[in-house]
Amino acid sequence: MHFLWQILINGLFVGSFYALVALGYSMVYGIIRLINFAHGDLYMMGAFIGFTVLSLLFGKGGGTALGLVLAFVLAMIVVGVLGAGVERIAYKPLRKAPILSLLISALGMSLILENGVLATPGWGSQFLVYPFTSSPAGFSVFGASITYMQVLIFAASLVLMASLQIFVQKSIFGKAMRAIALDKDAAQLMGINISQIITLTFLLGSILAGAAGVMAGLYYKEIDFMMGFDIGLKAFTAAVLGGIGNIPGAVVGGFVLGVLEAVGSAYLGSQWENIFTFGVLILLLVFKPTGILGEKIGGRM
Amino acid sequence: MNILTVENLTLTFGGLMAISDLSFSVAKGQVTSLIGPNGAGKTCVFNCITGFYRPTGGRILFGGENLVGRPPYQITERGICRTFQNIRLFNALTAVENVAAGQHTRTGCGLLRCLFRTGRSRRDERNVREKSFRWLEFVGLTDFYDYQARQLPYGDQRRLEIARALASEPKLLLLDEPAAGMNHNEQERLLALIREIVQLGITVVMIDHNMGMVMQISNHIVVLDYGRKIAEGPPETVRNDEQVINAYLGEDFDAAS
Amino acid sequence: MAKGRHSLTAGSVALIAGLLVPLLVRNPYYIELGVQIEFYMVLAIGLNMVVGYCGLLDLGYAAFFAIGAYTTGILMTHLHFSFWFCIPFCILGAALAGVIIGGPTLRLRSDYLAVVTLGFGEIVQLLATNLKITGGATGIFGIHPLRLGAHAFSMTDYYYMMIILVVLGVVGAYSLRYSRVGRAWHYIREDEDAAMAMGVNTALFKLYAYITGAMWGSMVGAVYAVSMTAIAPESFSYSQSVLILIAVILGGLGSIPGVLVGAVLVVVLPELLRGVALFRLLVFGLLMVVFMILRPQGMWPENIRGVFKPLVGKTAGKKPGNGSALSLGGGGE
Repeated sequence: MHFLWQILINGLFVGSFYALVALGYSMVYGIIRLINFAHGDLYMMGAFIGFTVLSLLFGKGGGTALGLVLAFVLAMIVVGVLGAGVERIAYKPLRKAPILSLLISALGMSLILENGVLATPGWGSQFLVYPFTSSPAGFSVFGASITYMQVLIFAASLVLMASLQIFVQKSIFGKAMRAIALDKDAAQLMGINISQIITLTFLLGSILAGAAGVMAGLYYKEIDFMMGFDIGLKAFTAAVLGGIGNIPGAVVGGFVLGVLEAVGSAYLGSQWENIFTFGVLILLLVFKPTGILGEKIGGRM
Repeated sequence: MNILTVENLTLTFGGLMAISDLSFSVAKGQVTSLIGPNGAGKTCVFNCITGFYRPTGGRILFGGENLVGRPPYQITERGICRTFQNIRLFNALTAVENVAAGQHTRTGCGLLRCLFRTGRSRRDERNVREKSFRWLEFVGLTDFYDYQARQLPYGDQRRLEIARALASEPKLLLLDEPAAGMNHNEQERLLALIREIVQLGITVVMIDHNMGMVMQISNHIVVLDYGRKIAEGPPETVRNDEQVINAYLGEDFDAAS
Repeated sequence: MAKGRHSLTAGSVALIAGLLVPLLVRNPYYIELGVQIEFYMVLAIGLNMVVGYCGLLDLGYAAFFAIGAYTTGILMTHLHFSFWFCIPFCILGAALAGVIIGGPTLRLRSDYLAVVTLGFGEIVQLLATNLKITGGATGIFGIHPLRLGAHAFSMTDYYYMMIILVVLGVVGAYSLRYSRVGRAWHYIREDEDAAMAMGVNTALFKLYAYITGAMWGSMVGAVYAVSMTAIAPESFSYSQSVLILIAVILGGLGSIPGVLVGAVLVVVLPELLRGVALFRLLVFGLLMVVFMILRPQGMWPENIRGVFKPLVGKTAGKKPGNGSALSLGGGGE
């Protein structure tokens, strides 16, 4: 029983990364109907930028809260700008092109980011140990042990998700985003600057991915240039699970997937974890492509 | 003799009623027009007939068979073909290959026959090619056969779409705003073309906003407003119908005709 | 017509040159490189039917390649099947997997297919890595090479065998392109709704495209297994699928000469960039983005205008007007 409880808790932590990355997929899909294959790699970029900031500050280990905040802020800013840049360079010129061209461009961008990191001195192909030693101190809840670091990460991700939700619901930009998602032409007629809002959407999604990358570095304590590939697929699964294009849906999907996966790999063995997840994705798309909170797909006429 | 009968057709989108309890018939060999203000549900009727939308209720009878629930390709097989309001050609393909699409249901070679170029598949190919060129000629686009569809001027694209639909050898042809965006000359050519189509024995149902054209060519007009039928009859009757004039108030109905 | 003849001439010249290579080049390194190019050529021809003809983005094509290779490897090493007897099983296995994956997902939006195929590719590779029968991470080795009598196939023999496969692939791909099925695929690629309105059973024809590609890919996998005599999971990774896709995209979606050139590029470019091997996929990624923006039709685009020619020169001298069209009897059936 304690075992299962611990697994559930761990699943929730991992689920919060999935949720943060899934939000980016979902927002971008909602607004321009593109599966942004480079999104998982932006998360990976976040982890590497956090790595560099922390190494510069602390060398191989140690660390202070202030340094951590700095790593988060810088990773979020750089990845945010990078994500918006990717949109401007690789997607914007293709807005009127067939969806296939756009998907291929996204795939190319993903290769550029992965292999760019691979070719960068100091980053490279090997696993890098995250240069931040957090205290193993923690507490236990009904027998499941939780470190303070985990709580911190979890709280930070909840704060980010809540801020996003408030931004999208309350701000004028958020309203414009929702308007474009509903009807692009009508939104344009109402004087909304479509290009600007699309770029903003990428910026926001990438900021969250950047933050999730740093969190993953802290949580797993190890990063590598292909880490974005797996999470890309998983976060997309989470986004579909919750209903793609739907912000609360992406969060719910992320947590549900995190927990499902933790339980699945505990009982089947961790080498089957990914098979389990992709199996879930395929079954989901076959039987309930609209997800938990999503609406109907289709109706293109 | 009616070729198509629509009975109590109803279509709702999540509570929103796009078509409500619509009934009308299309007489064989004639031109029937669906008119009505924007958003009256005309294209929705076409989408129901061709199987793109599944109506919430009602029946669509064609040759004694209810079409509701059948997928679009089966409906095309049975002899109904359409054009689209916002031209939907295969843009990167040549004009003649676009027309050849119509022949898809009139030929039957599957994967293996095509792969191994059996005798039947070669015969079919010759046939498809011949017919495609003839339909292209029918709409006067022979000279542009190897132009990509997207390279053609707007009016020609409309006619190419009609040729493509005709190539499916339909008994009933649905034209969705065929004259939209055409200049006067192009409209005249289109009128002549529709007359020729009717002469071939094909029944035409048409949606259009151009009242002059509709009144000139239609044998029968069905007027929709907010998804309901508000009037029906020959052009003279519809023209003088009070409800119709009210629905069109502000659109200068008389001037248009 | 003239243009068609030009590409036929170009194709024959390339073929003859290809046949002569082993006679002129003695360095086994080049023969091996040649075999590698041929593998990418046939794989690209297969993937082109899915992505180029039908417009379905398949990111897990290597999975079918793997199914063929592993089926052959397992049947030949465990059950001592002869190679030729393995092929029907490979094709059957790929078709089955194709129907299971493609059947339900091809009804969805086509971009979902990209993710499902990506996931499928991962699943196949993970299964190969984790199952006992596939030999785990080390894979299967000791697959007997092909024999003709007492003569065991050398790399040069495989080179010629692969040329036959390339020619078969090219002929098959052209036959399909100029047929009812190939046209239906193009209609779907251009506008799925319009294709449906013209009477194409889009779900069925998309499945045709996906399965044709799958069966072909698995057959190539079978040949790969015997020619390499050993197979391991890393040959069937995501990057493998992406490389095949790059050959198709850079060469020219839908264009046969294009994808053949693309296959050469995919093998030769990294060889030329050997000193900077790290940048290989980086360069391909850049090329993909640049091509999509500036030249989406690829290096050697399909000659769309050559597909449909009038029967005899012009339209057989028929004068315009409705006279000839009337005989079509459009209304009556």
